[in-house]
Amino acid sequence: MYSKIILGLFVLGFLLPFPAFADDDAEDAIENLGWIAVGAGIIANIPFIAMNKIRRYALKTGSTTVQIGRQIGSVYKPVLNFHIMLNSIGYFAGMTHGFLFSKHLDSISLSLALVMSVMMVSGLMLKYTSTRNSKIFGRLLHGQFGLVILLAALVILHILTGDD
Amino acid sequence: MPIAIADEDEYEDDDEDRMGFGIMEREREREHQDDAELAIGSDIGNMILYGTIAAIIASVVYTGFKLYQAKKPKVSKI
Repeated sequence: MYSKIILGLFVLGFLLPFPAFADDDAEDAIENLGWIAVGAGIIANIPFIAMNKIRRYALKTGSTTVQIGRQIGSVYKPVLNFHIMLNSIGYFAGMTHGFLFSKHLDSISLSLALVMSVMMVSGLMLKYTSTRNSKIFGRLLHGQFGLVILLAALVILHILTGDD
Repeated sequence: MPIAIADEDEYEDDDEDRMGFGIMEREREREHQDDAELAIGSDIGNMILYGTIAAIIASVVYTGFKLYQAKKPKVSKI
């Protein structure tokens, strides 16, 4: 129990907003941080989505592929935890970044924050609600293809307009 | 009445300064214009924001509708 609290506090330590003093020479460092965030987002989501699709396809086709589907199922939990952990860090880091730069708030940033919040809330619903209906609702909303595309488009727009 | 006497050289220097200042000023104005185009309340900004809100509402409604349809008992065509 105590170890979990200590681990939680340790992880929270990474979310504390430290001011970044960067002069013109350090502009590359700021850009690199942005690309690291994008890379972390890709690592957190693409393998998880691909794994789910392959597992479902393997179980649906039956016979020989069922074994592959079961093997993928055995690593499902750790990959899911990794997906939740990295996305939660990304969400809170993104929100902190947004609050720190709230002076330069534009429509793309606000839209991005809204979509991220919807994805986060639906993910929390999926993880922590116990009733069947709310679980199905969370699963359907969290996996909405349109929302995922919208999120990716807003991230790209945010990068393109971020230089200003 | 004060009279400002300026020879040609001084005038050129002044003009050069103004030219440099003009370029910087124009660049800054262009940046402000780009910011203003995406700012909340501007036409493009509102379009992006309302589009996003509409997409979110549509997703939530569609999800609710799918859930409702799944719960509704199927009527047999006899």
